[in-house]
Amino acid sequence: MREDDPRDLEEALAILAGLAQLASPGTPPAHAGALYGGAGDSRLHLAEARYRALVEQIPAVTFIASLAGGISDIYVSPQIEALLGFTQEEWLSDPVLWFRRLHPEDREVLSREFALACATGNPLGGVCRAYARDGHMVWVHGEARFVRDEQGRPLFLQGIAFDITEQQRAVVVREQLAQEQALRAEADRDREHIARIFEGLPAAIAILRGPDHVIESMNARARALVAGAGAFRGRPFAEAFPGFAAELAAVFDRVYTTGEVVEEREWQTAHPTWSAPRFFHYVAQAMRDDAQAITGILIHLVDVTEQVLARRERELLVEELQRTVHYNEIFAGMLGHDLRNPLAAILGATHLALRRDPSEAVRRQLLRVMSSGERMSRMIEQLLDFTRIRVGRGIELQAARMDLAELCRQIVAEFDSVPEWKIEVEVVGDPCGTWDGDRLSQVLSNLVSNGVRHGDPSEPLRVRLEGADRDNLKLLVHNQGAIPPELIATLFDPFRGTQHRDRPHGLGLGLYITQQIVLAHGGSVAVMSSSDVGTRFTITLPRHVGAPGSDAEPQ
Amino acid sequence: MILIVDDELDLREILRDAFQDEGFAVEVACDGAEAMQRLARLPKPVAVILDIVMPIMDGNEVWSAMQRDPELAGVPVIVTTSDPSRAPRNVPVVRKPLDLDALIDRVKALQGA
Repeated sequence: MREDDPRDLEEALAILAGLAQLASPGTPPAHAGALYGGAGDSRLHLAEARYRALVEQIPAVTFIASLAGGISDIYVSPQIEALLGFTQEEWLSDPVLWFRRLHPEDREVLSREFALACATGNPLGGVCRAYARDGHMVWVHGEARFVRDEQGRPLFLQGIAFDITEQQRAVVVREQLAQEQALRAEADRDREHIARIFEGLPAAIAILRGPDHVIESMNARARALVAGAGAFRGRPFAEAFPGFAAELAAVFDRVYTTGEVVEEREWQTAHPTWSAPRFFHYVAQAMRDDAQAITGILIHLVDVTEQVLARRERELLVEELQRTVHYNEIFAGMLGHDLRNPLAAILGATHLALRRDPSEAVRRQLLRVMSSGERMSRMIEQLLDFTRIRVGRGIELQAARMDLAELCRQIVAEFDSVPEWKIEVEVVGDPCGTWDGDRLSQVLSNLVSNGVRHGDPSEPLRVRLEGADRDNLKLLVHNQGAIPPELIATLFDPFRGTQHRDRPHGLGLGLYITQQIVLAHGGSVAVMSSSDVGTRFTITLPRHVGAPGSDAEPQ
Repeated sequence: MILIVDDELDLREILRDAFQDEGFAVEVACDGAEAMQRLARLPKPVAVILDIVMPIMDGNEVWSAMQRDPELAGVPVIVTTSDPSRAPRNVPVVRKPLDLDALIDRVKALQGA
């Protein structure tokens, strides 16, 4: 690049001299070339000598750089050797050496600033890092400005650079100090923060040091556990809390010597200041130094007394419940066999006596035995069903193909014995499907019996079977009585109404069992009641219940 | 002749009286094992009235044993139980508590057949 540059050292110096003139206040601006107008002028030589002395002796490097194809030095003063260890000749023989010696990060910064200065015409200035010949880093402060021709086009960049490494080092030291202080403050804050967390944790924590388990710290919960125990910090655990020592000494020794984590979920212990023994979930683990040597133990305790007591209470309750269920099963067995069989004998004997043409007076009494026995039998069946539903296998269906209309007529016929009860049966569509006939006859008996008992005797009870739909069948039982609105919500509850003095006919289980039978069939029961339209129960049944025997012949 | 098999003494005796009232010869057994002994010794009955839940040998076992014996396989059986789901399939059931009229009608129908 130097070969392309027509300017020599003399010319550059003249420019530098011009710059010096420009910088002196009061001197009119003049072009550098004008100063050097007459060659051989002694005044000029004197000036040159003066400026050379100035340029080459000030404790800074002066330089001139060409702007052709980037920046390249065309003059550098000999102080460059003191600054970076390269001689003036070495520097000038390699015009971009300066760029190579720059710290890589600063190269970019400088390039950006140079581009900015070119665009604005402002002077360049700042601090950058350069590497001296021996590789050590030198902080350099540089200032430069453009020298322009009459048209204002930049000709050269010229400036001054000096070593500020010492000052910079001081700055760096100051910054480091400030940073260290900030870090220390942050660490202090962290420590306080952790200490507050430690103190406020909802678990008791104790830190013990050394083979004697000397108490180093205990947080608020830990201190609260042993409130009134006196000073403990700095004392061996066994000495501070002799009450716990026997139980825990072995655990602490084990953790301290083996490094194992020892955990116990329900450690029961007592303390003189507690009204009752307590349960703790504790974890004892080793604390280690940087070399992984065990230095102490961290103990973490949570008071689980309430949970343990609550659980024990629950366990007792469950046991009690299991016993109850067991008794229920025995009870159900008694109802099913031991009570039912003698009752069957009573009914059978009564029936037999009735067949033997008794006198009218005896016959009346036998009929009373019969009707009470049958009522008792129905109640036993209901209690058995209730027990099966609540604690047994639930209602098991024996489904088979059947005609529900036929069943309706059979059930209704059973109510013929009371002449004032009027019942109408209406069937629409196909009444056949696959259901448990015995269970559905229970449902029908219950609804019809309720209907005639609670209805308006002047209006018939209407039983309607709607079988037009392919998949579902509806059974409606409608009378002119109204159920009080407050009873509707609990209508299907077991033992409904039994708390009233004027108890209904039976146990109050009929509708509950009815609903359970319908649910077992995959159906639903709904009730609608008002004084205007009366009461209507609607049972919806899927036409076929998926059960073994569903393809069996109709019975 | 009909054979009544039931472990309940009272019920067994009521049934004996009821069927004797109707002019049947009646034999009784108090469990399944005794029933099988009776069936082996006696002439083939018109019907067996068979309870299900019994000690020693229950009604289902009696029914199965009868089906395995070519002499007894054709003897009509009427099961008496409070829980028809426990009865052998495709065997006529009269539910307990028993409706004596219905049971006697069933047996008379078999006799007529």
